[in-house]
Amino acid sequence: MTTVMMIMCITMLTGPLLALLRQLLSGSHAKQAARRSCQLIGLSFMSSIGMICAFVPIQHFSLIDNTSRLNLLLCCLILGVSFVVHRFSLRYMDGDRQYSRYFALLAALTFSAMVMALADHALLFGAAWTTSNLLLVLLMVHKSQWVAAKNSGLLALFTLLPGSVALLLALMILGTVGHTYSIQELLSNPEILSESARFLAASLILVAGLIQSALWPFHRWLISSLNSPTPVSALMHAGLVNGGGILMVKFAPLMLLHPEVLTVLFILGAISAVMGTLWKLLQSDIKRMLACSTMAQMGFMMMQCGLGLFAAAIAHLCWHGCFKAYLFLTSGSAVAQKKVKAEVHHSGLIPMVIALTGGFAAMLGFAYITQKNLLVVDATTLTLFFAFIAGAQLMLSLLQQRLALPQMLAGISLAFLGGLMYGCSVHLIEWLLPQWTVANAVAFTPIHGLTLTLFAFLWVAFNLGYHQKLAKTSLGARLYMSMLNASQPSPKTITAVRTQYDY
Amino acid sequence: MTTAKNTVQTSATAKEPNKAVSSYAVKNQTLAIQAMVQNAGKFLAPVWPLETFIACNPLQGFESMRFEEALAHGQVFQARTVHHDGLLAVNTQLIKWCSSFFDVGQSSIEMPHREEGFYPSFLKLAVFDRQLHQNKSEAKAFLIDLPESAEEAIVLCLQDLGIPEIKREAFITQTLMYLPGWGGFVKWKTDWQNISAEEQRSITLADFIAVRLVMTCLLWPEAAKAAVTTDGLRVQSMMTTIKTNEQRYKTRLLGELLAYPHMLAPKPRTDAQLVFCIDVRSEPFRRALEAEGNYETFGFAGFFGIPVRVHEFESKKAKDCCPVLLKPRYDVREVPVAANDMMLDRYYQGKAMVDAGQRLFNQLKHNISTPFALVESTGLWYGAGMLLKTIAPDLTHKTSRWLKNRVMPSLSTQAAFEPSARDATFGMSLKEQIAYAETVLRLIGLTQGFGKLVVFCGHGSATENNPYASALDCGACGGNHGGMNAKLLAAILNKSDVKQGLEEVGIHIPLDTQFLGGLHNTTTDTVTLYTDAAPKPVYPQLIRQLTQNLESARLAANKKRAPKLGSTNPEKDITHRSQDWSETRPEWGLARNAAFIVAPRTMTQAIDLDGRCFLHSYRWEQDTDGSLLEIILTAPMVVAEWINTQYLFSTVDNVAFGSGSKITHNVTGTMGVMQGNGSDLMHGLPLQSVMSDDQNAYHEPQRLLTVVHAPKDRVHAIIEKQTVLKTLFFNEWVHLVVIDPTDEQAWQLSTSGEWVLFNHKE
Repeated sequence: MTTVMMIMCITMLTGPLLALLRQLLSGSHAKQAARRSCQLIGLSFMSSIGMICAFVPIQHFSLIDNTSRLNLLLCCLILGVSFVVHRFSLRYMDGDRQYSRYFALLAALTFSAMVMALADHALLFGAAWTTSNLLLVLLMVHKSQWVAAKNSGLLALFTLLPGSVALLLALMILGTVGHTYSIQELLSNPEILSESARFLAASLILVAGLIQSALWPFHRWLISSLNSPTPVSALMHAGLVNGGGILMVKFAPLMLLHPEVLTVLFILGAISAVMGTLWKLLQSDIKRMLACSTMAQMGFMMMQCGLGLFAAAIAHLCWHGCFKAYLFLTSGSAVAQKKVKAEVHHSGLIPMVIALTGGFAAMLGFAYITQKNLLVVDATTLTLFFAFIAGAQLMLSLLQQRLALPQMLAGISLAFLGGLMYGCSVHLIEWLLPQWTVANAVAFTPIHGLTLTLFAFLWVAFNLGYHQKLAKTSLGARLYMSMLNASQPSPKTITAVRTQYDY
Repeated sequence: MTTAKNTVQTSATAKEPNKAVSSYAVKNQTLAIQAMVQNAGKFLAPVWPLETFIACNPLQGFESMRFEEALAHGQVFQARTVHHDGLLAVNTQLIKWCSSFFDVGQSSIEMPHREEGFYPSFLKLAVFDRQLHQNKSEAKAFLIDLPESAEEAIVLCLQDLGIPEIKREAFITQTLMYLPGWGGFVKWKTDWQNISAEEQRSITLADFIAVRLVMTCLLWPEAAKAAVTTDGLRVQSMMTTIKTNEQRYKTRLLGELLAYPHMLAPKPRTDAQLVFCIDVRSEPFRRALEAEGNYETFGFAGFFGIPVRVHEFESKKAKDCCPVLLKPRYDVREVPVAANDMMLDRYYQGKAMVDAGQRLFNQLKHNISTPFALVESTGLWYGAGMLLKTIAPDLTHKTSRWLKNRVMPSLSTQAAFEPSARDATFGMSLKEQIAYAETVLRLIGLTQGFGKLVVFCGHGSATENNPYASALDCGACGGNHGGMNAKLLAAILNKSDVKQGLEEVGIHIPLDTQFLGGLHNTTTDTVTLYTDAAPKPVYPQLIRQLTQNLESARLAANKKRAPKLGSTNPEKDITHRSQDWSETRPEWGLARNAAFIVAPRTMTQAIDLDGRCFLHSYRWEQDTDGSLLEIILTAPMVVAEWINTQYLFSTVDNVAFGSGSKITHNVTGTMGVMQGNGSDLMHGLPLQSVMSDDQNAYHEPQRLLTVVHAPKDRVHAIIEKQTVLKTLFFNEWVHLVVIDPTDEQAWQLSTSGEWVLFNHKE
């Protein structure tokens, strides 16, 4: 059994390396080499799945230790997305003058991201983190002769580098104070570290996480990153922006000792979630809409981390990654998928109040699967709350079409089913990562409650069409313009004059 | 409020005579500005939205000049010089405003006051745009005090910028060239968009210019000093390439055309006659099919002569299925064929379910607070879908089609075109049906010798995840699939009273001749025959035979196309391309188009034209007064010229006239593409449509060579009558060669209007 596991492990690790090697030696057979890369990454991906299924942690490597389920799961996500992106790029990037270089960078990035996910040595982790970011910037500046693309890359570089520095500093502080560079050892007993060193490290990690996940006020680089080729965007939004969440989860034992840091994280997460959602709603181009949506989703993930719901955050990271990668890759279908405005036959307060029953149904379904107690207000209330809102929306959409008993029954059962489905996907990850499912790690305070109220209020206002009434007023005009301006990419990354574009 | 209004009124009454004069002056000025704006805008080529992509000449505004001269002038679009910061700032702002204003389906929160029009909404919002006024109080005051009318704002801004009266038009012209894509879209909106009477145009060219000038006043006050520099050297090298290509191609084509006897021996009654679109992609398929059996093929504009607006059954959309040069004259409905009654209920149920599902999903996704749970619940399925598409694309495609068919069976449809008392705007009268049928048959040259089956074969493409899908569809149908037009004409001709009516004008159609519609899928070369929409088949055996032959023709045509697509296993590859979500070159479209041949098929049948020619059927003997030729030269040929120049310019400069690489395209407003974070609206064709890779062109840039088989005096008389032809031929946008049936020699029209004998042995 262990031999099989060893083989799988080796296949997983060497796949991206061999792919990189194949690219470097490709010579004039670029297409063949790219095809081979694809197969290698595919093999790697399959091995990672095999290992997850086998559920066996391996403890045979000195440098890359602690190949826990979390690390494996992350590897699996990275390899899966990388595999899809590789395959997609085969045809999508065909004819590109940088074809070989592109695939080499993809393979290198896959490898370094995987090392990042697996590393136990703090400095190796930091180095892999930094390398991944640098490789990502190189991929973003795929068309280096195009000024706007270069500027996007530079903006990303100058934003991400301080993040890397913050992380490296934090790791060095931890290493020096704790006399070991093994992350696992450091975190098995973080209380022994001095309070101030711990706090400093936690704060630095927070900054690194915020920058990586493009949370407000560090969101600019992500919104300005759309000069990258589509598959690179997919890889980025499904992979590297999640780095912040991974960081929080990896260092969870440390972060939990500093609830004030987690509260800051929660608040900044909430701000990003609200702003990202609002901005997303007024974007007119598909890719920036997706970028704003990622910002919101990252905010939500950080809210989960801020409440100590680390397993839920990982679930969010994985599922959002798949969702967003898919949407980026299909962004060419935006013309065909033109959104047709749904006709609303019943609006106003009554359907909305009735729809709340759907919310309760969804909450029930969710709580049933995840075995949560509905009556206790604690950190898990956050997920229950969002299950509630989604369930209510589901039912409301039905009731807006027809306000009748069959619609109500259908709405309640659909919402319940939706809650079950939501619960299943979150619980799947919680089940995979039992050690990260900590109950009551962070107390649910009025700050959290207020934030949720804000989300509820915005939802009610939007669905009652208040934004349309507001738009007619000068306050509405002012708000619209300020949100539109705030969500614009950095001016230097816009191709203001057509001839500045270059392929 | 009332008092204030009264005061205004009294003061106005007091100054009545004065006001009349001034209002006259204002009106006069408004008209003068409108005229100036119109004039300045004539150099902009319209840009169609992606949903109905229409190829058009990006230098259309320069067609009154000679080609070479226009090329030199067109260099203002190509100048790659360092640009002033002010220009960048103005462009950036205008891009922001345009992309929000023109959005037709991406955003969930629309720009406020958008329904009032571009300049009026700008007036209300700009005061709050900090990027415009940068919090400077004088800038804010300037924005607040802007006049209500766009024309007055233009005057005000021109004064502010210090543009002298005589330089105003030139200045505005230059101003419009800074963002030719967005400007071109405005031009489409104002000049080409078909809108119903009750709708208002949301923008005028004056609106667009006024907004731009206001921005210029604020962000680039020294704009008057700017000059566009061009480098002159490029024209020479471009011309050399173009002329070399043209010379080489002309010599070969004419040599081949003259080498074969033009009249083949008359055949017995053909089994089937198939009319295809003039599109260059029809020719290889026609050739493949002709080799399969006793078939005769024709070329005719793919909308089959009837300008209709089709109200689609499934999408409920109304589509203008005719060339953009025409306005749709009739509204027809797509309705399920009667035989489907059993399925209809299932269809409606399924459709209701699918619609409800999509609505639910959209409302969860484009909402506040709900997307978080949505993403977490559905992410797993997206991940699985993505992997499936990657590992087994064909299987995924088949499964999803099967599933869709289970839920919502797809129904065969037909055209409902009979006038109804209920709705006068729909349908066409019997007289009109006969009149159109006659014109079409005469234009095709199919007035006698009808086969047992006559198939009208429209065309359309099948691609996945491709914003430029409509660029591969039928241009004659306004960037739509041509299937409905084909069904319509077939249905009209199958009617016995139409046949009778045609008898009266001298066209005898045998009673046993059956007409059918069909659709040629240009991506895969599959032809679907719409047998369900036709009356009970008279020749079931023949239809079976034809279906088989169409299938073998597909394989042959695929094989022929394989080298161009770099494919070793064409049969599998080509179908795969049409279903692959990552494919940027699903087919080559009309790339390498080179000539427009107006002649009977017998003249070209023996030659392999390699999919480079538009073929229009024409028999000069049947067109005694030349009126048919006149239509062919002024309508389909002009469309072919639009397509030809679109491909030409997209190839010679893919940045200025094409839309750049697809890999960084960003669809904006579901109607156009920008590059990356934001840019000019990238009009023209993407790099992947005209280049085989980043460095090498696939399309050979050359101007259209029109070859007409008719007496040259007749052609000459038509040119004399038509200014558009004079412009195109004498300014060398199109080359004309006439093969005169009286002497079977090729005569080339010179720019001075003389016929020069072409000697292919030279």
